Amino acid sequence: MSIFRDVWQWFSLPENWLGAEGLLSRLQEHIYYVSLSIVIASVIALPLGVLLANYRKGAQVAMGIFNVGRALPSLGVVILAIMVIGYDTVTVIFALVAMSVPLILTNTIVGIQQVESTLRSSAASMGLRRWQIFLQVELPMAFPLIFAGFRAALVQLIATATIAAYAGFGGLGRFLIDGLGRNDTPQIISGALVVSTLAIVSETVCSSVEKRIMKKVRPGEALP
Amino acid sequence: MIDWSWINDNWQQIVGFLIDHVQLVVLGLSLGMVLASAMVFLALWKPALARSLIYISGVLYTVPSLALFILLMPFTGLTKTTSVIGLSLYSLLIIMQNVLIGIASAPVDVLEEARALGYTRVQRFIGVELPLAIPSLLAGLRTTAVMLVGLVTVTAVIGQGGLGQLFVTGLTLSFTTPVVVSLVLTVLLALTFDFLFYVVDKVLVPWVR
Repeated sequence: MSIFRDVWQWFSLPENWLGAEGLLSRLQEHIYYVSLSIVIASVIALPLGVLLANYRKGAQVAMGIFNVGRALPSLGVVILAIMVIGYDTVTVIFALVAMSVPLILTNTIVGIQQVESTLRSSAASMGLRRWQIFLQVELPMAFPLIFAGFRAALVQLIATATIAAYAGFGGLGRFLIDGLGRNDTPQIISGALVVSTLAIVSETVCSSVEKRIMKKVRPGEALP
Repeated sequence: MIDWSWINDNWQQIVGFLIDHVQLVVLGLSLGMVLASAMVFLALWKPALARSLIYISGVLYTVPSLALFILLMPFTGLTKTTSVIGLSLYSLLIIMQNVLIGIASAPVDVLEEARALGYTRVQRFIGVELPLAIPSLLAGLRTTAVMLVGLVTVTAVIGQGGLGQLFVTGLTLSFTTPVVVSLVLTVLLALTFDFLFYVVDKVLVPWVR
């Protein structure tokens, strides 16, 4: 098919890779948006989740946030953020953070709350302090769920950062949106391929990081 | 922030988008269920395939939504078909995983009893394993439906999008009302789907508490 040849040709032109609008700088922008947002979202959601988990109604709160958060369409959030805050890098970061906080927050709350209370009481009867129980029992037991939230947020951020290009921001989404505007199919397909690869690679990296951390925090356990 | 007269003047168009939105979600979910069922049967028939089928649907699930819709475009163009196929591909992972987990977690004693009662393999599958997997299937459909309600709006970029069209209107006119209306309606629609599946679950499988 000629489309494959065209895409191949697009990738083989150096001007598509270099320069301020080339793949490399767009990729850098994309990674910058995503990594800054995931750090800010984690800094907000993790401590808040730990706090809410100790609150009896925490689980209900978590589900409420999660349901509404999951239903919020990212395109709308990005566009509304522009209209309210104005057109700035801060805006896109704000929208991305707003989209990923619910995922990390709910998983943290649910992860800590589902730790069996027998584990907590046996740790307490062994003389562990509250903070020791938190660090040595609750966190390791909740780790898989907390990390799952982080992973889901990361993948979602990569997707949302792509959509943000529709509202005029940089990142890899530019290739898709500009290509659509100019009817430049090879460019659209190439951009879509790059951003998909980015998402799949980060998923794979996350899954191997998860296995490593699991071995450290819960040694001697058979992994699924 | 909200201009009520705009809503008053354009409510017919808004309702039209809403209907379109529901239609896209229902079509995407239905096609997703058909494809996922085919994959489940394939996985049960040749268990060696299960892992790779889950892997493939996992990769599809990871691909950013805009990119997936766009990768479908050379084949199906700027049409509703593109949206529906894209949406159904997103549904695969959750539905398939949930059904497989539901079937795998059927209690062993129940399966033994069915065998003792003289059920053949096929009868046991239809009469015991499938009904026991219904709660898990419904949970998967519920999660997927809520996700699709949000994803439909992304297809506004390729000229579809149901309520997502209002985001485009808002952005081009620099006017917040359509954006807010669309955000509120999509969240309400998602919660409606969520509630609907909750009710179906209570009606179909009253034995699960």
